[in-house]
Amino acid sequence: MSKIMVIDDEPFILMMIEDKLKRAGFQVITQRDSSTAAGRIRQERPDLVILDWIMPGVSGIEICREMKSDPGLANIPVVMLTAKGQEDDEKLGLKCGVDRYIVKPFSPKALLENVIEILERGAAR
Amino acid sequence: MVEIPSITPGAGLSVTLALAALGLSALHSSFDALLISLILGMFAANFIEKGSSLKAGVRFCVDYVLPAGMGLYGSQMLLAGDGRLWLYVLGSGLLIFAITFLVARGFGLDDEITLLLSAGLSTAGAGAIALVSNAWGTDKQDTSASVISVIAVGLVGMLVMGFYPQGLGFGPHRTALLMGATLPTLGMVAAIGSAMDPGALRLAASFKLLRTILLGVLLLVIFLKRKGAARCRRFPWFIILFAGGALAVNLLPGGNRLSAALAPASQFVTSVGLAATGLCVEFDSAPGKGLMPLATSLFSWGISVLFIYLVMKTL
Amino acid sequence: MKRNLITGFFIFLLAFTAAIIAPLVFLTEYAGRAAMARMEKLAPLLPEQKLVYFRLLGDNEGRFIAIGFYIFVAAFLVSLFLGSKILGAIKDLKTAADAVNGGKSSGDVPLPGEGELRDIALAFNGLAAALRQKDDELARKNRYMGLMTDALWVINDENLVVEINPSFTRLLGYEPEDVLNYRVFEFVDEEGEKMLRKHLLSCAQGNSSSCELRLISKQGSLKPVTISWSAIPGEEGEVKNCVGILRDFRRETELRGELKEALDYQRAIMDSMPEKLIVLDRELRIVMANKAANDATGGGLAGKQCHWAYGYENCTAANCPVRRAFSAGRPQKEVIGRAKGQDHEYHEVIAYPVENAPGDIRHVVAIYRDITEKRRLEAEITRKNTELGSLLEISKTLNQSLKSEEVFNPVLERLLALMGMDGGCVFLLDEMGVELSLKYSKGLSAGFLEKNSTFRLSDDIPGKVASSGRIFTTADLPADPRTEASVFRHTGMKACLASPMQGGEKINGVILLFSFAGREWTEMDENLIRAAGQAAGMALENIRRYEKMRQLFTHLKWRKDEERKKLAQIAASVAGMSDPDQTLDNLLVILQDLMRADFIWLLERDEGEGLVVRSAPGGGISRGLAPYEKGAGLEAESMEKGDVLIASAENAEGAFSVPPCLEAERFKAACAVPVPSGGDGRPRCAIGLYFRRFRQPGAEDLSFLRMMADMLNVALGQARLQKEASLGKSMAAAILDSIEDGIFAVDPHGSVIAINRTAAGMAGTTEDDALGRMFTGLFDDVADNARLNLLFIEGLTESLKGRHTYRELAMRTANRVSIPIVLTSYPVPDEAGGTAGIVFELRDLSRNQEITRLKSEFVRSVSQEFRDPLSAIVGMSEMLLDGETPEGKKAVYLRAILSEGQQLERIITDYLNLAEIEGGPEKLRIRPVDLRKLIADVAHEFGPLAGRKGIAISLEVEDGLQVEGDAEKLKYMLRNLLENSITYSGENGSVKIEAQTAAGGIDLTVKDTGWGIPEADRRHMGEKFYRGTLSEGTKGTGLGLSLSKRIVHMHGGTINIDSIAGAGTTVRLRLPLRRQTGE
Repeated sequence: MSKIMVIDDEPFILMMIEDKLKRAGFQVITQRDSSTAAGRIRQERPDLVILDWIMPGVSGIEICREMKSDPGLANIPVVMLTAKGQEDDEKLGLKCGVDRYIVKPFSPKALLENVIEILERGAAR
Repeated sequence: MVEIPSITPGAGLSVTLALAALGLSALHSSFDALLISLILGMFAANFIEKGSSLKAGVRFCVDYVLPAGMGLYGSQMLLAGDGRLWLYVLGSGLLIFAITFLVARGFGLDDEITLLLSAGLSTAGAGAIALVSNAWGTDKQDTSASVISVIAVGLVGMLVMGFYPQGLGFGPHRTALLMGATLPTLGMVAAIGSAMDPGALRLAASFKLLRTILLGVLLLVIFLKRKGAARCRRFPWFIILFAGGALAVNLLPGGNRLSAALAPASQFVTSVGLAATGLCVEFDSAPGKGLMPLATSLFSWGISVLFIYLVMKTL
Repeated sequence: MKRNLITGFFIFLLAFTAAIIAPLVFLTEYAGRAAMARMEKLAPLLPEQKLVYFRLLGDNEGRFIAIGFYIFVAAFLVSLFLGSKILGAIKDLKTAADAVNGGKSSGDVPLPGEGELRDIALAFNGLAAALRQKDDELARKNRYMGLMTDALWVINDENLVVEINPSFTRLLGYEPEDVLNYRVFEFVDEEGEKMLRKHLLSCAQGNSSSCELRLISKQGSLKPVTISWSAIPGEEGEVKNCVGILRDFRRETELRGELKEALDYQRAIMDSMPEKLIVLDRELRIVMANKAANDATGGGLAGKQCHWAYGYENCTAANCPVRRAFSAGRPQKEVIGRAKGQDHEYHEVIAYPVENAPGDIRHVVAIYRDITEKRRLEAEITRKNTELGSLLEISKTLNQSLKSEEVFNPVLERLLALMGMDGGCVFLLDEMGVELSLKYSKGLSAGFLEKNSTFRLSDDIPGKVASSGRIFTTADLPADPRTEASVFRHTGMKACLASPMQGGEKINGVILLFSFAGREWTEMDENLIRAAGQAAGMALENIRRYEKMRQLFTHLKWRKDEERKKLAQIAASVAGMSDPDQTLDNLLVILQDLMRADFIWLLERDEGEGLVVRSAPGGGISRGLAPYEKGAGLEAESMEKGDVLIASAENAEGAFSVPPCLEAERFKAACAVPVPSGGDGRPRCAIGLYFRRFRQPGAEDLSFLRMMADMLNVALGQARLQKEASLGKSMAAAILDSIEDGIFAVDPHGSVIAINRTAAGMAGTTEDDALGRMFTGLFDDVADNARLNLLFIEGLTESLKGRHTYRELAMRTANRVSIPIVLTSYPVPDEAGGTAGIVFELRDLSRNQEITRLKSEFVRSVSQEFRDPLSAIVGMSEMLLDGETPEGKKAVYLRAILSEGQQLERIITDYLNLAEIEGGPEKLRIRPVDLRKLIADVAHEFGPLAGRKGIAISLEVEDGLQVEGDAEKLKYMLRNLLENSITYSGENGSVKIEAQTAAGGIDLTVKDTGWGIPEADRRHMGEKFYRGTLSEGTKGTGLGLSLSKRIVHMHGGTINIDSIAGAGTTVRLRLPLRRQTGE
């Protein structure tokens, strides 16, 4: 069973994603505090991380960078949720190693599909 | 080239004079055609108003007919007997040439006259003077003065020696040798030789003709010297003719007959040439040169002849 | 056949030879035959022997002939040489002869040695030489003839022309072939022929002669000629040819005619002379005499001796000018005086020597003149000249000076010297014309002077002279009856002469001269003294006049100096006008002083046609006072009239009234000067001068006043302009400085003439510093702004053409920041239509860009703000519909959806508030607000949020706090502040809200212990959309603080933010209890 970690400061969104993914049969770890997120990731070693971009303190993109610079975490795929919808931001995100970029508001169903796809792809590799 | 019409007057005159001379020579053996034709030519030149119409013909005869005739005379040169005698003759000729040359130079005469006098006295008289004059390019005054001097001296010598040849104290051969070795022209030799027997005469003539070789040598030298200069005349081709003739009559069997056969022709042709030479002589110019040429000739020839006579006397 | 010597010789020799040989041959033949005959006699000869003998004979004969021939030839040839010399010589002779025959000159033939030939050669040479010489002579002769300018012809005894020269051709036109061998008479007319014959005949006899006749020229005209004939003798002496030299006579005829004319003139002139003229030769015999001479002596002077002409016997070599002229060679003059009865006669003789052509003096012309009259006239003239000279001297002396003592003494001396007198004196008449006083004297004793220094008119000599105006002369004073009563009688004067001095019409003095010896007075003396007197009189008048004028001048000068000083003062103060009112006061003071007035003021027309005091430097009267009723007053009148008005108590023209405020001063006179206002209008102000003691101002004073009024007008105008200018200037400066963009102006050369604060700031300098600098390089101090400078220059050039430019570029400002700007340039036209200057504007686009950026950021952040709540709403809704919600969480989801929806609503509200607040203060709903409750509510709202972060919110609010304001806005504001405090704090902080009443309002403080506001953000606090450096990652609109500020200001309050980075932020508000007007 794959472990997915979700980091977002918005409790509702966190809850929503957690429910959806759990329902799909994933193990979900949630984190609201972005500052300790990186440590948590190292700890938990999830199979996929879903990040919100805009968070107080450490932003999602920073966490992603940190992950990608850490060889142990670099392989973990990252999905970025964000309200930022512009092209530059997307580019930046992809440059930092974000595997998937999902713009809010999003459909949970779509999110789930993306996650599954990424995990399957990763497994196939 | 030569145009027949232009040379006719001069050539005709020369021929006429030559014929007259021949005619005169037939009268008496003391008249020799060669000598007479020259004299007649000289007289004619100075007594007839010379028109320019004669000039071309005269020139032609001097340039071509004279050398031809002299060349033909090679066939008359029958050499017999002692080869040493030939050397004597040549030596005499050279001696006369040298002494005349030195004397003339000593008397202060210029190059041209010196050469002409030397050539005239030592080799072939007027004919030689004419040929050398052509080859060297001397002017008429020098030529005339030389011819007159040489003929005058020669005549004097001829008269002296021929008047009483026996008084010389030589036998006929020796006399012939002396005459052949000293007298300037063949004509003079012939004129005197009439008093001697034909054999001696022929010998004398041959001796005389031998000296013509010297002329040939001189002309060759001049030719070679002058080859580069503008005044280059033609090669003295008469030498070839002369040599050819001489060789022919001396070496070929029947040379005598050949010689005899060519005699009249050579005499006639040379007469024409000498007549033309005489026509070139100007009496007016001779005085211009002064007494010197005559004096020189007389003196040098006299000394040379005396010397040769004494040498012969002692030998 | 050539026939020459040689030929001849040849033939001779031949003949000779033949002559010798032939007999010889015959002899031989004969002898031979004889021998043979003898031999035959002895024994008969066989025919063969005979033949042989004959042949032998023949042979010998032939030989003889041949030998003979040869000998002949040899001899001939040899003789040619021998004869060479002769032949040579002969040849030379022949050549030379041929040359001579041929016309060529031959040289000499060389000579043969000796003998006949030599002689012949010599003879030939001689002949040739002679011939040559003859040729030369002939050639020379021909040359001379050719070169002769005179025409020449030679006539032979048959009267034929045998020769002419080229000049002949020139003269008459005939070529040689036209003339030679023609008869000479063909060239003359009948008369000429006769004359010719005569002369030729004479010439043939060997005489030379000359004649004049006319020759016919080639053209056919007759030419007058003179012919000089000479004979050319032949060898035997008889004349074969005559040579004639012809000269063109025409010229001579003319000359002769001229000469005759000249002589006639000469005669005429001579005879016309009134003087006696004679021409003398060296023997002093009269050669010619003119009519006058002849008439005077009865005629027939010619031939007579000189003395006779003049009847003058005793002339000597010394005194005879004629003799002297002959010897000296120059004109000589002599004056001869003779007594004639009582008088003398004078005659003058002038002798002129006459040179002839060679330079000898053969004749002298003597002119004899009676000069008696002349001398007399000369003497007269000399006399007159002397007189004039003297007078001139006197005049000079008189004119030398304008001081009487410098003039009269020398004049007196001069007169005494001129006239040879012993003494004299000068009397001057006083101005009244009553008394003569003796002012200057010479030769009089002091005692006399003391006693007799004044004379009354008509008294004694001077008085009489002065009153009558006539000259008084006496030869003997003591004896003269007229001077019986004179004081001068016993002074020793004998001769006396007195003349009036008259200058113009009046007599102003008397000159008196005397001498101790008697003297006869001549007319000249009288004339002299009269003239001197007149001159002296005029001089005296001039002197007096001069004195008067000098006094007047001195006074005026003093006046002018005073005025000038004052004017200078005024000008100085006007020029340095800093305070117009002060200057005005100064001006008025000066004027008052100058006019010696006791009071001065300047009245101005106000709006209501009344006059108010503009300036009253004397004090006591304040500005703005209206001294008169409307329209009254001297000043008003003068303004109406437009000119100075004077009123005084004395002349009471119109009523002299003083304004009430001045009544106490007791002024007696007033003067009002209107100040013109330039242009059209009536004067706007007037000066009033008041005097206690009246002095009628003179014309100069009045004109001065007018001038002052003008100056005042100018001064006032200037003051006005200055004020306007300075006002305008400060306004312009204020406007410029208020503009956010950088603006500066340059003159056409590019130097900065004006710059506003922003531009100076951009350039990193101050406004004062920047003025006058070159605009290129202004911004280079801070950074290299090459492109900027280029665009400046472009702007300048375009502006000079009247065009403006608009360029966008990046420039570096003083902060080393590169900001995008728009550079625009505008030309400032001058009156002539050219460009007076160029205005450059640098508009910082960064703010615009910044704002644009912030705006888009705002939009972005708005959408971002929306997205989160929307994500929850949309996502959760989807999950609900899909039935994906976990059990029992449905309600949670729905609540979440509601909550997020509300959040959205709040966000929207915020933005609506913003819009409203942007709309202006009118949108506020003002009501009394319970502040306490408001604060409490807001604090409660943030409880959860604060709790989450561990931040404690504490309140310290006064009871009963109430304000007038818009509750909603205030709440919003407070919310914002609180939210900021919480958001920008770390964990476990605290936020304290305090509120209490203060003077006129309420103090509200929100203090937190958060991160504080970084330095960089401080400036931008309160700017719209500004999120701050710490805002990365936080949600917010960036509007909060700016809106809060705005709300506070709209309530009429103030807001202060203090912050220490890392320690916390304190926001202090003050709200007034009542909203005041204005922002």
